[in-house]
Amino acid sequence: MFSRTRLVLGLQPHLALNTRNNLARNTLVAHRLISHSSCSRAEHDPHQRRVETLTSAIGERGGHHAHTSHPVDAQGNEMNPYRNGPSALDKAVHLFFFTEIIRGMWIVLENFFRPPTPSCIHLKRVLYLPAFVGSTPYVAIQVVKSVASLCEAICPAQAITIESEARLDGSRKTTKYDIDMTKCIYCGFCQEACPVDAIVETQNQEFSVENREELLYNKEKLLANGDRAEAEIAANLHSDHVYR
Amino acid sequence: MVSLARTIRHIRRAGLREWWRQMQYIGDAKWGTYVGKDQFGNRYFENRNAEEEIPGRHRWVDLAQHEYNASQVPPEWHSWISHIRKDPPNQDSVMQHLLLPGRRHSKLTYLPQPYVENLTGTRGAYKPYNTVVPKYKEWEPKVTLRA
Ligand code: SF4
Repeated sequence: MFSRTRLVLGLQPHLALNTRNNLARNTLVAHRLISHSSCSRAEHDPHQRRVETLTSAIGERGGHHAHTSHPVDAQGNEMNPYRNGPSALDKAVHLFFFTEIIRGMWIVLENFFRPPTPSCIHLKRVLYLPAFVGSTPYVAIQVVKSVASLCEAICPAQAITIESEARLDGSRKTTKYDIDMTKCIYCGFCQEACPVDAIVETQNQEFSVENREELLYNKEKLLANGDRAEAEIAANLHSDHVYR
Repeated sequence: MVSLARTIRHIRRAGLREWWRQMQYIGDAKWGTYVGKDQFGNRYFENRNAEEEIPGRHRWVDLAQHEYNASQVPPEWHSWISHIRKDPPNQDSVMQHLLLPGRRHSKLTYLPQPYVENLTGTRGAYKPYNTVVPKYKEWEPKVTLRA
């Protein structure tokens, strides 16, 4: 009997929503943003001064003593390391009232009223890095002047076809440079192989085509691709030039 | 993500008209600082407040055309919206330098081409063709006269 009274007393401030705004927010409208991770907060905190140095806490993490040290207050007494976290009662309330399940069901419900995903998926772009050639869709040749055919030789999918002919002065010139984008696996080896950066992968995506033959790129098409994405390619090269 | 409070807050900030357009095209009530506009009239926004937008959804584009697709974003803005470049092209010094009419393509033999979106399914679609003389010819039947 005594314990039940205590429980009711303990729960009352949580159920009376108007009394404590902060608590109600914690209980019912619980934070759902991923962004509430501490690192993201620090990143976007306008009050915090940015210091552009790389630091690592590896020294502190190295020894076991790091885990045993508790924060101490001014008097030297050990403080509870969980004092800022949710209380046991908070957690119990979440557990008893299925708040997480209700939040999950709310997300399902609101998606019910949204347009189907394929119509808006293109607005949510993935994150590319400038040096990321792994799945960067299409290949652009900027300048085709040296006909070493290194890219043709290295291409694991054998997607590249090169033909060349001799100029009058004896140098060679590419007459045919085809890349079959249906074969290409975007490994980026051709870009790595080229000594003069004649072939560069761009980050544009133009893979939704109505005919399969539109993916068989010839020399003119590849050059046009490169010309269109010139600013982006050059900016990528600029941000990478320190490491090349 | 969507919450009622966030939706109402964003409607109040962006205005009813903007909200209606967003619900037609984006499907979410979004509000952020206006970053710029490209040559096609697509508008770009950003909201870096992590309490209001999930990181990863904090840059978005309001595409101008009704029949929209991802290839309508030109490469300069593409690198901003995909977080390749930190600054938008109108504030990015590297990008500005490249886009300067005199400096751009100074070493290349090819003239800059205007960006076009993916034209598949229209008459502007790319058709592959051979850039060399074919090595073998089609068979052309010749009828020899009977004696
Ligand atoms: S990216 Fe890889 S598969 Fe594609 S053309 Fe280059 S070498 Fe071949």
